[in-house]
Formats: sequence, structure tokens, C-alpha cells
Amino acid sequence: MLENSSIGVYAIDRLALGMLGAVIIMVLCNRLAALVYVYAFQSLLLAAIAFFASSGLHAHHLIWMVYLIIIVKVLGIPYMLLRLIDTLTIKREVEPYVKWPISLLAASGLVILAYYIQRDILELHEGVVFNHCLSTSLAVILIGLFLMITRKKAITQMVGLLTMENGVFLGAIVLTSGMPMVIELGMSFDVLVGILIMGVFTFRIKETFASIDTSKLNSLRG
Amino acid sequence: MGSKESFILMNLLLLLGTFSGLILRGSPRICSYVSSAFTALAAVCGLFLSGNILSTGKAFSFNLPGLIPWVDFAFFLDNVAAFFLLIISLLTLAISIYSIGYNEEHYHKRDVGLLCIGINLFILSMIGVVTANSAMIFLIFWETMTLVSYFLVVYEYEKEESVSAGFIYILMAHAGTAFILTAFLLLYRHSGSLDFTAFRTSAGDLPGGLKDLLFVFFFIGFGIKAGIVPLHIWLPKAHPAAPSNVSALMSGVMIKVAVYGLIRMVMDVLGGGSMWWGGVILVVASVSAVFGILYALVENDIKKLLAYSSIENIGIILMGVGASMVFSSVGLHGPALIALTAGLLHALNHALFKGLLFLSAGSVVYSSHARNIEELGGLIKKMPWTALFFLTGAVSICGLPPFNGFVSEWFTFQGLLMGFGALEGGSKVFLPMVAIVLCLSSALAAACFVKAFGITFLAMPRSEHARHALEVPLFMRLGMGILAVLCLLLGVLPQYILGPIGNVASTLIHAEVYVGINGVSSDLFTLAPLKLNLSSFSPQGVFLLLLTLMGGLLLILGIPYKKTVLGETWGCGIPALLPKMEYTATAFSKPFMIIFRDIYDITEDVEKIASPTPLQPHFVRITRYRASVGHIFDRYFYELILQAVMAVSSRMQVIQTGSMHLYLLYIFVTLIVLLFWAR
Amino acid sequence: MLKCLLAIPLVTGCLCLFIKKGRVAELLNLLGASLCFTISILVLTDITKGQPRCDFDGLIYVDALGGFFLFLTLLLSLAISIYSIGYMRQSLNKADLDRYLGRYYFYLNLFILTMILAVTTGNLGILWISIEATTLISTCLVGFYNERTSLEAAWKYLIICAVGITFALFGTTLFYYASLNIPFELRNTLNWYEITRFADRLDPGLTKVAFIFILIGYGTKAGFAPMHTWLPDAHSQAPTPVSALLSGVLLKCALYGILRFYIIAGKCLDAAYLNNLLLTFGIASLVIATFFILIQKDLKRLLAYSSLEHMGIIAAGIGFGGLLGVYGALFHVLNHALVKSLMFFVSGNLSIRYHTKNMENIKGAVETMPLTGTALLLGSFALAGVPPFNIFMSEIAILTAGFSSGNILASCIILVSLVIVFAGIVKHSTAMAFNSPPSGVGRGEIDGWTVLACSILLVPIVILGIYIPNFLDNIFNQSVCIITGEETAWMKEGFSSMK
Repeated sequence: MLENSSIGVYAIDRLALGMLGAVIIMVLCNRLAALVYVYAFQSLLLAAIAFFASSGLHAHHLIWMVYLIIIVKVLGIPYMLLRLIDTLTIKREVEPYVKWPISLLAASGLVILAYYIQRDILELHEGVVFNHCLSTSLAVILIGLFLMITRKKAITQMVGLLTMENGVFLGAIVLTSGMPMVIELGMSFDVLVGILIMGVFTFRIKETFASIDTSKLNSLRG
Repeated sequence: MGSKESFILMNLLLLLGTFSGLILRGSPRICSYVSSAFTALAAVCGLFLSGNILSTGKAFSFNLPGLIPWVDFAFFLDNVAAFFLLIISLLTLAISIYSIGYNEEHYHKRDVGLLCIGINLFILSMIGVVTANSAMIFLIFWETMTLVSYFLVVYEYEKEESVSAGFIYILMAHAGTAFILTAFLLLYRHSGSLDFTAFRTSAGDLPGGLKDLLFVFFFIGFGIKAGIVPLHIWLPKAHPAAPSNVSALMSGVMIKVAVYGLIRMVMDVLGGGSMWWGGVILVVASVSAVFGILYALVENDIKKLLAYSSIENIGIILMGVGASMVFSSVGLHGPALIALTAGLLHALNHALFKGLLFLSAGSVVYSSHARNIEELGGLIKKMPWTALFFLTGAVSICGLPPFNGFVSEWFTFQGLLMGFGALEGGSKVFLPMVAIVLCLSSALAAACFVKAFGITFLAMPRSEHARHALEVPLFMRLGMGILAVLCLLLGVLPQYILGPIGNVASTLIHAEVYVGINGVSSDLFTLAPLKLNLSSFSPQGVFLLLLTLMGGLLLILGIPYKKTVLGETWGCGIPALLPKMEYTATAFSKPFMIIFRDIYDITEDVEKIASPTPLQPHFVRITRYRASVGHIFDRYFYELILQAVMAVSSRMQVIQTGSMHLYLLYIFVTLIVLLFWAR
Repeated sequence: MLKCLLAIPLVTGCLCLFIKKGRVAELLNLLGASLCFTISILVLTDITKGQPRCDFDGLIYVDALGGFFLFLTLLLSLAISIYSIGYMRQSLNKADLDRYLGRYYFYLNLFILTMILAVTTGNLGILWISIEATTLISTCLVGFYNERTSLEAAWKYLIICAVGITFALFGTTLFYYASLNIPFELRNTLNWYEITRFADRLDPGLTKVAFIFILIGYGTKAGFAPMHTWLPDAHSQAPTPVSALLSGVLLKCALYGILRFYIIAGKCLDAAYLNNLLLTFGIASLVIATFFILIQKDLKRLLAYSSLEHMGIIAAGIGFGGLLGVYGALFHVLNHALVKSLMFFVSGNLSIRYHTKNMENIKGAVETMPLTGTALLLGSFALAGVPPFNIFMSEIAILTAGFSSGNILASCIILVSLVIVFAGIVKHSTAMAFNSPPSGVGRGEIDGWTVLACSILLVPIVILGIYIPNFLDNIFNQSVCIITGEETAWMKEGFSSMK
């Protein structure tokens, strides 16, 4: 656990809010590439949070988390996604189900919900959790899911899923100062493999359906 | 050999019958003989066992070591169970002998082994039902009975008719089981045990509302299996679809097992209840009796006709049971005993004559390969034995002396009519009204079986099938003969069985005092309920009278001395009589169709085909008449339920539209709802 | 021994990938599966005698509950290995058979490995990792045929389960966080057997939310409605042996994950709250499945919805609580796995013989394939809950628990649904088994192996309907004690009061 007074805590709190900001920008993004860049930026913020957490707590294994996040989430996955966008898509728009004003409204609603859950359902206040961390991570998760629900393309769904994972990692790093090392490694490995498999399937879907619009995957019903 | 040994031996023999069916499947003849022999031996064991318990009145219980932690494999045979075991054993004996001959039809065409396995398991499960002493074991055997009989119904599996009949049967039966299960579990919740003994002791302090609910559930659950109207729809489809020996078992025995369940649970375990319970049973029984026989009357398929007639007879059995419950609810043990005895006796009698009728109908189908009686006719000359047996069954079922149907129906009448003297208020009139319904249904039954016998066996053959029919093999005649003799015996000497049945009835209504049935001990030649002077008859007297009359008539007419002269039947000058001049089954039942038009829901179709030559368009050459009888319950009840369920189901399909965004939304919404619920 | 359990599938899988001979891969796989099954029995007998087994510093920790699920996994994977030999050959393209078979067995072994890991691990983090890994690997199996529909199913399966599993990760994090508040030396460990010991000191509010996330997360994987939407797609599109594995084992592994958290949460929360949650999901799954079963045309989708129904019953059984409810639920886990695998095997045989999965075009199975037809009939009656088959017994136990725990309404809903499901399943299966077969359909069984697999499963289905062997009873008893948290409540005593 971090001490409540240190500078690290302050920084972590603000960086977490930055991640929230990033996810709201993702809601507003109209182009696929921009979405991926914002995601990379958000991951970078996550890496910074891990860094501050590692120094603030003497949780030194978290420094490995920082490297891992930078390699996998800031560089690796965004690169792969950009390659995918390059090779696969003709139209590079996000193609949402709902227009951006409504999305923004919904996203802010979800943020309020996340705070509400922290304050009123968990009844956890300062001293137990950081000011914003649990609710921020919850909000990132919820908005990530919202992105997946309202965006049609396979790639946006992947990004949404990754955003959700970022939210979970935020929670894990800040609340528990990281899980045991083996588990962190295993989780990152799983995420990476997951994204690779998704990438492969996106290719196959493109080959078979001539599009990566997942709303066209609707032949299995009833 | 004690009760326990014979119980085990009986079950072992049935299992042996099953396994021999399984092992010897390759050679149908050996399989049929061996397996049926085991079944017959088991039946003998069963007869011995039930006779032992009925005569000594010593109940016995039997426990298997715990195979499943929460199920007690407990069996219990008191005289109620023994009485139903007697019914099962009697029929089993006759049918197993009959089967040896009957199975020949299937040699090398179908798997006779499966039929043997099925019959043995069927009998085993019925014995299990009547001897079970714990709710779980009861249910296991009850459902096994359904399942096995289902497989027997679809024995001719390539026929779509059989498959759909089987489906309706097993679905209805399963729904019934759900009711029974619910009732058991409610009782379990109250008593903390699944044992019938515990149910019985805790039934006294059940809340009134719950008790009523339990009665309703038991009545529906067992009623479905018994085939009461309007829950009967499976019965006329399933019973005829099965092979005839199985039909005899189903109609003769299985529906009695349902009656056993009903009276065991409602009268014995719940210990009877309010008067309206009996009232409900009486109303349903009356409706079943009339509707059953009305549908039987217009039916031309001989096995379907018999199946409908089973519905009528279940009605008559339940009349006795219902009247008994009415009486015992107000503490009138004497009349209650008479009515219940009547019901139980009719259960036994119906098993005998309906078994006989199904077996002889099976013989007819065996020889002629036709089930529609319009295609038969004149079989009395080809198959005199079968005709005689069918006639015996028909006379019994119509309730004519000196056969057994008369005794039990007469007793039922007495039971119902006693209500006039014994009860107060509305029920004073209600019970005699039911007696009137019983009159009506008996009369209609007579008409129905005149048709069934007359059109099938008399006159001339109406088809090639009938023309080439031959008398059935010895074993089949033997099987039918046993039942025919029993029908006569129980009609002439009912006293010997009435005593034990009286005991059974007094066990069921928990009567402290044994109210003897007069005539059993005091006067061999008179049979009367309670009071000799009120109303009585002597079955032996009637029998002797009939014999004397018949002999006298023969003497007076001098038939024994006359030489028989054979000649053509006079045909009003027409050179040769043709089968198409005969009275047909449809024509026979036409007056009834007209009278009961509203009930039958008839669709008629008269087609007139004019002469083909253009000059004579107004001269009708051929007239075709078709009439089909609808089933109002199917149309106004079951169809509606089916449509409703189907409509809901297709509406529900919108959940799974194939859009994964929607699927993700479900997860999202579920999460939010749960988070709010967590507060 | 536990190390062997993890090593064998890994080695077999890799060997299968590199050996370019289909026959060898098949036999190798069968050998591996039988070895693993033998080991699991040894492990299980060891566990039931006394102490749980542990390895790798407690990362691997098997108690009776885990041992039961391990046994289930390996029993089914053995049956599936046998069936695969007969089935995959017929269903795959003949040209490239060896390569495809190698790949198939590679995935299959990895899939089994991840499931073994899920049920043997003592660490909540590894539990999450392995369940996530099951999704990833089984996705490859679901999309194995690489057709339009199978790709669609695989994608949906992957995304929906990934979302679910992310929630589960969050829930795990919250649990970990809650356990950190316990001022003890068990910091920095996610081992459930240690958390369980101190579980009564967890913060209730946090635990509640954490359990909700776990329930939604692993519940998605376990196929609870309304998160079940991937289930019919994935089950119907995967190769049939894999469908059997998904339905028979994978759903149960996810349930196992829920159970582990249920045990922890049960110590610091009101049991009624948790039970109501499970009961709600159970009833929802059951009711939704009911209507889909009734008007289903595709055989494998029918079976998938039936899995949904049975998962609902299991959840309801745990939700009813009490000795009998949990016992019944665990028994039902085993029963459903056996029967559903059998039914999937049968459906595979039928779809190869009739070249269709549409039930309207399958007729007269008892005539064309007598053994498969018989298995179809018996299996579907077992599935519909008719005695003397095993599912009836466990359903009765669950219903009894429902009535005695006072959930009359829920129990009645279950009963009504069961009758409707019965109608649906029996209607479809008897129409397939009986009637006369369409012209042009060949006669005879597909392969001896498929028949062998069916008969291996039929034996326990019939036996368990009337007899629960002592060793199974023992495992169930101990598992029930673990789940309900009662130390020594031996079932025999509990039941003896019932009789």
C-alpha cells in the first residue's frame, strides 16, 4: 500500500485521471488510426503510473511491469493494430452505431456511475482507496465495453477490449501494487496471445466476409 | 415359501425374462418361449404372494441396502398393494401365455427380443409402483413404467402415427409426473421425509389449503395416467398403437396402477378430506364415463374403440371411489366401504374383460391384419373361439349377468343410490344423478359393443383380409380362455373375492370397524350391501335361472331333436347377397352421431358424383359419405396451449439475433443491474 | 504426479504437431489421455483419504473439489480422444488429413492442459490465466473448419468471453485487494486456500462487488444467461468432439472458478445473498434455454441450449444450498457432462451419416445406425431427466433441496421448464430416431471408435441412475463440505434424517 501523502500518490491520481481523459477522447475518435494512437498514449500513462507506484511503494517488481507495458502495450500492440488497419481496411472510419454527442453523454454517464459505485455501493472513501483510482479504473472498463458495443469494426472491438484491460491493470497496479510477478507475466502473455489470435481471426474474417464489419457476422441466430 | 421369498423370486423371474430377451434376441422363437415362460412363472409367484397377503392380511416390507444416499429403496405390501398385484399378476399370466402365440407374427420381421424385454420391464415397473413405500422409489418405477410403455407403443417405429401417439403419451405422462413430484416434494417439505409412512403420520396436521392443493395435484397427476376426461387425449392414441398384448397390459393394468396411486395417496396417505374432493372426482368420473363411451360408439378402429371404452370404465371405477370419499368425509363408513368395494371390484373386472377384449381384438388383427371393423365381418365362422371370447368380454363390459361386469356395476349403483338415504343437502340428489349417468353410459356401452361384435364377427366378410382370416394358435386361445373363464367365475361367485376386497377398502378408508358385506359369510346365495331386505340379488341364482331358461328354451323349441338344414339366406329375390348390402359400422352409429351432434363436433362430407356422360348430368351415379368426429378437448384446450407456448418461443428468438453488439450489451446491462442490486 | 498431469498433454500435443502422421497422432493422443486419466484416479484416491495434494510452492493445490473436476475433465477427455479417432477422419478434408489432424490434436491437448491447470491450481491468478487460455485455445478449435459460420462463431466466442474474462480479472483484483487489508503474513499471495482461511475478515462491501464481477466474468464462460449468447454458436460450429469438451468440461471449469470465489465470499457475506445471485442466474438460464430448445432446428444448437439449461439447474442447485442442493449440483455436473458428451457424439455420427445438422432431415436413425440410434434414444431420455438414468437422480436431489429450502416458486419454475424441455428434446430425438429413413442414406455405423466412445459413456449413465458408488459418494461428500464450509458434516447423517 502506498502512503497517502507522498508525491507519488498525487502523480498517480492525476495520471489516472489522464487515462480517463484518454478513454473519453477514444469515444470521440473518428478514425481508426487515431484510436490506436490514443490507446498507445493511454498505455503510456499506465506505464507511468506503474513507474510511480514502484518507486512510491518500494514494490520493485513493478518496474518490470513498466517495461512490459511499454514493450507490449505502448509499442507492440499499437504497431500490430496499425499494420492491420493498413492491410485490411478500405474505409478507415470507426463506423459507430451512435453519434459522438450521444457517445459522449453516455461516457460521462458511465463515469458518474463508476464514482457512484465507489462512493455509495462500496462505501469506500479516502484512506481506503485513492481518491480516483478505483472509480477511474471502473470507468475505463465500462467505457471500454461501451466502445465495443457501439463500434462496428473488428479492430475497434479489439481496441475496446484492450482499453478494458488497461482499466483492470490500472486497478491492479494502484490498488494492489501489482499482482505477484508470475501472475503478472502470465496475464500479459495471455493478453498478447489473445490479441495475436484476434489479429489472425480478423485476417480470416476479412478473407471470408470481404469486410471487418462485425455487424455482418449475423448468420447464426435462434 | 414366505412373502419375502416370493417377492424376490417374482422380481428375479421378471429380470430373468428381461435378460433372456436380451441374450436370445437372435432366435426369436426360443426367445419368445423362454422369456414368456419366465413372465408366466413370475405371474404365478405374484398370484401366490398377493393371495397370501389378501387371505392372511399380513403386510410385509422389504428394504434394499442404500444404493443412493438420499433414496430409500423401501417396499411395502399391504392388502391394497396385494390387491393391485393380484390384478397385475392375473393379466400377466394370461398375456404371457397369449404372447407366445402372438409373437409369431413378428418373427423375423421385428425384434421379438425387444418386445419381450419391454413387457418384462413394464410388468416389473408396475409391480414396483404398487409396492413402493417411498416417494422417490415410487417415482422411479412410475417413470420407468411410462418410459418402457412408451417404447412398447412405438414398437412399430417406422409408422409416423405410432411415433406421434407415443410422443403425446409420454409428454402427457411426464407432465403428470411433474404434478405428482410437486405433491411429493410439498409433502416432503412438511414431513421431512420421503417415506410414505412419514407422509401418512404428518398428513394429519397439514394445513387445509395445502391439503386441498395436494389432492388437486395428485388427482391431475394420476388422472392423466388413468385417462380421465379431459386429460385422456393420449390414451386413445397410444393404446391402439402398441402391439395388442401390450395394449391389453396398458388398458387392463397400467391405468389401474394409476387408480392405485390415486387412492393410495388421496385416501390412504392424505386420509381423505373435504366432501368436495369426492364431488370433483364424481363429476370428472361422470364426464369420463359418458364421453368415453360416446367416442367409443362412433369409432371404427376396433382397438381405438376399446381404448375409449377404457376411459368410460375408469369413469365407473372413479364413481365408486368418489362416492366413497363423499361418504367417508362425513363419517359414513358403511356406504363408503360399499362404494369403494364397488370401485375396486370394477377395477379388477375391467382388467379382466378389457384384457380379454384387447387380446381378442389382437387375435382379429393377427389373422386379418385389419383394425378397421368396416373391413371385417363374418369372422365368427372363421375364428369361432376368438368370437366366443370377444363375446364374453363384450357381454361382461356391458354389465350383463351372469358375467362379472354386472356385479361391480350393480354395486356401484347401490353405492351411489345409498347417497339418497344417507346424505343431506345437495349431495342427497347429486349422487343419484351420477347413478343416472352411469345408467346412460351402460346403455351406450351396450350399443357400442353390439356394434363392435356385430360388425366384426357377424354377417359376411367385407374384405379380402377378413375372408382369409384363420383361427389363432393355441397359446393365444389359451391366454384369452383364462380371462374368459375368470370373467364368468367372478360373475357367478363374486363372494369369494368380495371379502378380501372389503378388507382392502376398509384399510383404505381407515375404518375402525369392519363393516362386513352381507352374503359373504351369512348367506352364500345372496349378495346385498348392508341390509338384506333393501336390495339384493343372487348371482348364482341368476346364473342358474339363465341356465334353466336357456335349457328350457332349447327343449321347448326342440332344437336338440331337429336336423339342421343348411340353405341360402333369403335376399328378397336378389340372386346373391353381397357384403356391400350389409349394415356398416358408420351407419350403425349414425343415429348416435345425430343425437349427440354437439358433443361430437362432426365434419360431414357428402360427395355426389354425377354420371360421366354429358346427357345425364342430373343422375347421380355414386354418392360418397364421409364423417369425421372431432375432439373438442383437443381443439379448445390443448391446441390453444400449444399455440401459446409456440408463440412465446418464437417471440423469444429475438434474444439471439446474431448481433454481437447486442450480446455485449446484455453483459453490460447485467453488470449494471447487479451492481445496483448489490446495494 | 501432478507435474506429470501437466507435462503429458503438453508433450503429447507438441509431438502431435510435429509428427506428420495422423494415425500416430491419434494413438499418441489416446495414450496420453488414458495415462492422464489413470493418474487422475490415483490422485483422487489419494486426496479422498486425507490431505490435499500440493506442488510448485502451492501454485498447484488439489483438494477434493478440485480433484472431482480434474477427474471429470480427464474422464471426458479420454472419451473424447476415443471419439475423435473415429470422427475427425470422416469430417476432415481427405487431402490434407495428416496436417490437419496433427494441428487438431495439438490444440486439443493444449485445451485439455489449460483445463487441467484451471482445476488444479491453488492460485486465483493462475486460475484466471488458465481460464483465459482455455478461451484462446478453444477459439482456434471453434474456428477449426475455417468456414463462414465457424469464423463468425469463433469471433463472437473470443470477444464475448474476453470481455467476460476481463471482468473476472477485475473481480480477482478486487478480491486480492480485499485480502491485502487483512493484516497478516499472507500478503502478496493469491492462493485461495490461504485466503479462504481468513476470508471472514474480508471487507464485505468490496467482496460483494468483487463477487459480482467474478460471477459475470466466469459466468460468461460458464454460459449463464444472459451472457450465454456465444454458447450456441460456438458449440454448434466447433468440431463435434470439441463441442462435447466445451459443453461437458469447459463450462464446468468456469463454474469451478465461480465456486472457488463463492467459497471465499461465503465466509464473509450473507450466504442467502450469494445463493440468490446464483439462483437468479440459474433460473434465467433455464427459462431462456427452454424456449430455444422447443423450436430449434439445428441438432447441435439444441444440445448447446440444453447445456445452458443444465448449467442453470446446477447454478440453481448451488443456489438452493444445503447439503442436498450442493451434492445434487455436483452430481449433476458429472451427469450432465456424461450425457451431453454422449449426445454430442451421437449428433456427430448422425450429421456424418445424413450430411446435415438439420433435425428435420434426420429420420429413422435406429434403422440406419442401430447403435447410434439406441444411444440417441437413451441419451435424450437421460438428458430430458427420465429415470432410471442419472440426470433424474441429480435433478430430484436439486428439486428436493429447492422445496426444503423454501424456494417453492423457483422450484416450480424449474419443474415447468423441465417439462417443456422434455417435450422439446423428446419430440426432436424421437422424430430423428424413429420413422422411416429418407432414401439414399447409407446404412451402418461410421466407425468402431465412435461406437466405443458412445458405449463407454452409456454405462455410467445407466449405473449412476440407480447406484452411486462409494468412492464417488465420498468425493461428493468432501466437496460439499468444502463448498458449504462445514467441517465435518458427513452426508450420511444428513441424509439419514431425511429417509
